[in-house]
Amino acid sequence: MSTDDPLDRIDRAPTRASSVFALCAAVLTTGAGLYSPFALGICLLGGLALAAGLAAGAQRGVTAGSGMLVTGALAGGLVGAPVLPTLVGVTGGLLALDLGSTALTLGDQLGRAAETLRLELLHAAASGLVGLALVVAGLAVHETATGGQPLTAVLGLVVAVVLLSAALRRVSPVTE
Amino acid sequence: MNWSRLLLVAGFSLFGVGAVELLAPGTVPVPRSELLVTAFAVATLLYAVVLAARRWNRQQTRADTPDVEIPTPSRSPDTDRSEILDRFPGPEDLYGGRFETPRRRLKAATVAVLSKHRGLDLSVARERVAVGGWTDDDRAANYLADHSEVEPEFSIHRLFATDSARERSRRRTVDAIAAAAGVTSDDADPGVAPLDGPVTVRTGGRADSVATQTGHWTGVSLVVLVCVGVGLLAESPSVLLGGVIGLGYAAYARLTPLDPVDLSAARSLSDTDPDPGDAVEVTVTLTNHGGFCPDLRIVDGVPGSLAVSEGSPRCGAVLRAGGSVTFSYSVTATAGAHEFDPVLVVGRNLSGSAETERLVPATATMQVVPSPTPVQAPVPLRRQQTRYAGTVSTDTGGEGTEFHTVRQYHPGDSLTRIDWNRRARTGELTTVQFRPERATRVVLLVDTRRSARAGTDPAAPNAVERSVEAAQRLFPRLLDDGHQVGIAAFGAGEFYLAPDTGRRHRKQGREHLATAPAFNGGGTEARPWYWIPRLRTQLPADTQLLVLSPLLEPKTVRIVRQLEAYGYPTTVLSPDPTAANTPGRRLLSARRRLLLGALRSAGIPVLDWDPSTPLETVLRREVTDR
Repeated sequence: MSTDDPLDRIDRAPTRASSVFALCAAVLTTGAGLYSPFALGICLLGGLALAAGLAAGAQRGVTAGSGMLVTGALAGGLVGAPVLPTLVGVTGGLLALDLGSTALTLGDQLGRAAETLRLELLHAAASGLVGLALVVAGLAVHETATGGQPLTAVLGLVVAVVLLSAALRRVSPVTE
Repeated sequence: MNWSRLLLVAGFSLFGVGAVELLAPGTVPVPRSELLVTAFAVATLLYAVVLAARRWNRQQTRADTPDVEIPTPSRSPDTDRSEILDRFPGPEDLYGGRFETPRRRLKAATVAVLSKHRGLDLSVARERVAVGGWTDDDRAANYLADHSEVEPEFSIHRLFATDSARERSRRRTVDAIAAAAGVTSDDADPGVAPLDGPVTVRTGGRADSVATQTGHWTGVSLVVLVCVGVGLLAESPSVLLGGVIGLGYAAYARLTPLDPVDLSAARSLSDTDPDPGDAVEVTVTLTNHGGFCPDLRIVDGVPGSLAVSEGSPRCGAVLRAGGSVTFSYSVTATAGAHEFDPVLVVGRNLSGSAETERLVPATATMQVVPSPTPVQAPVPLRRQQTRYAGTVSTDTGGEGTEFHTVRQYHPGDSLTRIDWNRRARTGELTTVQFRPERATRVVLLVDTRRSARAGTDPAAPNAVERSVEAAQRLFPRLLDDGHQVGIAAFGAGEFYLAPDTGRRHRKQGREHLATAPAFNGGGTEARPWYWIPRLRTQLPADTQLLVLSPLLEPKTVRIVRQLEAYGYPTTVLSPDPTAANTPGRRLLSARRRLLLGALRSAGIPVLDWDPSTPLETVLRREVTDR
């Protein structure tokens, strides 16, 4: 890791490709935060934290940076940004978390010298496509429900979302 | 599981109700109330806070991968100072007092060092320590001096004498002892930084793991809750819809399956029998016999004794069913038998939320037998004779080249040995006697115990490696000199090659030294009372021993003395694994010097071999010293 390592061990810094992808996602969110200086400020801070986390190989930096990016996107939504930029902003923040963490774990497990590009491309593409699909789905919901819906309907849907997310927390991809 | 099913059912039915209400408002009799919305939003945010608090310290987990690229680091003999003191030779015997206080042990060590290295009488040495005149360092002198012991129990000094102050005194004392033993302190040179924990360099010794969750997406459900809570409170559709993104990624993380990883591996080496220093290319191919594997992190099982010189033994791969991946790297061949470990594969699902570890077996071995150059200096052996002609001078007269004595002529003496000059001068018939030069039987006895696997720094070769390398060069030289040479390792029947001569024997010895498990970090630790008698039954009579050992412990000194006492003239070649850049290491170095001295005073020649000195220089120095 460091140059004064007496044993000449490999460089386990976060992999380059995924780090770049994560920073791209941060730029995406920051762009979506242009609607308000406040949101933009939070996004820029988040981006800096993410970059610092990736440079230092610290998961905490990556998590905190992504959290700030999401917060910035939501803050933009609160002060009146339209739905599309907010959705893209939240997606970008979550992608930054995913890709930044991937860069960290891959770097730690395989190091920078190993051939990992294919794996990283697949992972980024899959996460990006999921994000795209989610943004489209969010927009579709927004379009079908442009104003005038009964509050009960919205509430019902929202409670359903919370219950589903609670249920998902109990589902594991690991079959035992 | 039931609870989560209940949540799912409730969630989906509410979703249905919401949808119905959306299409035909007023179908479901739900009270329309702003208060209800606010209450729900607040409850959601509270849930989010609870979740965040619970997860605050949860780290993401991932499988650690070993540092397969580097060879096993040498153990640094920098043990605890009190452990070094525990086995410090006392002034009178090899084993100092173990159950004494640290101060008394330091005192005993000081007396031992003073009597050995300054040639003082024990009583004089004790007196010097008691009055504090043995060193220039006042603090060290005071710490061991008698008057400091009679310090009043409740003095101001005591009140303020923190442990760190005492600790400082001990450190200074240790330095003073080392200086008295002639160990030059070298604080300016920080040396090599100590390792920051144990280093694993092999994939062997691991086991397949059950699939675990990595926590890769930790925090996503928090985004859902915050979006819902804040969105409802602020009546902001953008924020509310942000929850959809969070929910979607949570579902992605939870619902992508982690299929079992079913792989086979094949490894091929460009050369299985290379010479030391050669670069050997290792090619690894993994084939997928299971389903699609979106994320495989592969680490090859490079032997703990080899270093990767080029490329990386790691690879990240995506394998469809039936697909395969090949990667290659180079290792630098070093003498020894190297067995490759299984390939470590860490598999993840597409979203990266779960991970499993597999060891895929793939066997490959590499045997590297060096062709060592015999040492270019005479090996200092003890004087002894066997009936074989050779080069070691004996102490009896006979045929040879070096003059020994002149005696009266006996009928049958060779005409060439009659002293004709004397015959011409005095008419007396005398015979010149020369020192017959005889070959001896030598067994190279290598200390291969775990305690000997120590080196000056983690990247330097350890004492066993240096001993084996020296044995590789001594063995052919001794054979060239006409001796019968055998090889043995410390330990019960670990390894024994009976002394012999001849070309086949030479080849055998070279191969065994390179590939026998005892010399490759294998082997067991046996008690001396068990293996020494067994070794004695194997050793022929009139055999000399050339022991190769770092001599770090009093135990080893006792073993060598015992062997000498059993009638095997013994010489010790001791690779020095100690460094001088910390007080602990200096103390160890001082202890080793005392142990070397203890052997020398028993009449056993000891050759102290510093890592920076060529072996030839050490051997020549011994010859000129004699």
